[in-house]
Amino acid sequence: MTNSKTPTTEQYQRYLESYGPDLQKWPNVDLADAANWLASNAAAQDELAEQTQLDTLLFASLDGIKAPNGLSEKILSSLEDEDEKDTSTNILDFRQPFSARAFAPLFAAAFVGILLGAYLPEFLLPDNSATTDDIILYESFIDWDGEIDNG
Amino acid sequence: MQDIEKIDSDAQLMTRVANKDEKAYAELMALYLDKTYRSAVVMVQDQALAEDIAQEAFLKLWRQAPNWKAQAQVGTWLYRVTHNLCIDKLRQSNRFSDAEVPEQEDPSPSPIEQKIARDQDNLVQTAIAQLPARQRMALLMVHFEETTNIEAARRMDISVDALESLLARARRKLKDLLLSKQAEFTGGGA
Repeated sequence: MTNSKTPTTEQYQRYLESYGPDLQKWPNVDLADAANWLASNAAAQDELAEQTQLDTLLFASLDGIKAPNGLSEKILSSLEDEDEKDTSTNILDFRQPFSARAFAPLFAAAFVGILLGAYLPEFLLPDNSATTDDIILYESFIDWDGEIDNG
Repeated sequence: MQDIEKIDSDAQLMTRVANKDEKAYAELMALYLDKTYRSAVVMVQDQALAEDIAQEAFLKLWRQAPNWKAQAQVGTWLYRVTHNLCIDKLRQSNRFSDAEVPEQEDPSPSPIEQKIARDQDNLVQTAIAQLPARQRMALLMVHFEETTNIEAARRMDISVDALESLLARARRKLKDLLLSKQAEFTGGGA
C-alpha cells in the first residue's frame, strides 16, 4: 500500500498537519521513511510535538463525553412503539390480500352478470322482437285514446 | 483478526436482536451508545438533538437486525447512520457549511461559570464548537472513528485533497485556540 514515489517534504508536512502525529493515518506512506523524515527535520519535530499535545487534549476531552443517563431506557421504551407499528403493519398486510381474495368471486360474478345483461337479450329474443315495442306502443295508444274518449 | 472477531460477535448479537431479544440490544447499547451520542453531539453541537439522533440511529439498528450481514462492525454501521442523520439535520438548519462560527459572547460570567470555563474539557469542547461543521465532521471521522480518508471524503462528497484541507484547517485552529490556553492552564507551559 505504499506509493512507488517517496512523498516530498511538502507532502509529509501536509500529512502531519492534516492527519496528526499518528503515522498509521498518513495515507500511502512507508512508515520507516516517514519516521526518518520526522527524525531528520527539526521543524517537523516541533510540529510533531504540538500535534501530539493537541491529540492528547482532544482524546482526553472527547472520551469524557457520555450519553446522558436515561437515554438507553428511553430507546428501549421506544421499541414498544416500534413493535406496535410492526404489528399494525402486519395486520394491514394480512388483510389486504385476504380481502381481495374474499371478494374475487363476487367481482367475477358481477362482471359475468354485466356481460350477460349486455349481450344475452340478443340471443334470447327472436329477430322480430322489435314488434313487441310496436304492440306496446299500439296498445298504449288505444288505451290513451280510449281514456280521452271516456273523458 | 480483532476486527473479524468483533464483526462475528456483533453479528451474533444482531441475530438475537432480530429475534426481538432486548437483552442483546441492551448489550449493543452498552458497547456503542456513548460513541454514537459523542459523534452526534460533536457534529451538531446540540445535546437534545444529539440524543434524538442517537435514538434514531439505534431504532434503525433494531429495524436492520433481520437483514444484518456479518460484513461490518455494528459501530461502523452506526457511525455511518449517525453521520448521515447529522448531515441531514445540519442541512435542514443551513449549518452544514465551511462558514466560521463566530466567537461566542460571554456576557459577564459568574464566578462559577468562570471556574467551569477554566476546566480543560470545557475548553476543548468550546474550541471544537467553534469549528465550522464540515471541519468538525472531517476531524471526527478521521481522528476519532478510524474512518479512512477515502471513505470520509466519499461520505462528505468531497475530494481527498479537500478533506485534507479541512483537516489541516481544523487542527490549526484547535492548536491556536487550545495550546496557548493549555500553557496558561498548566501554569506557563512546559
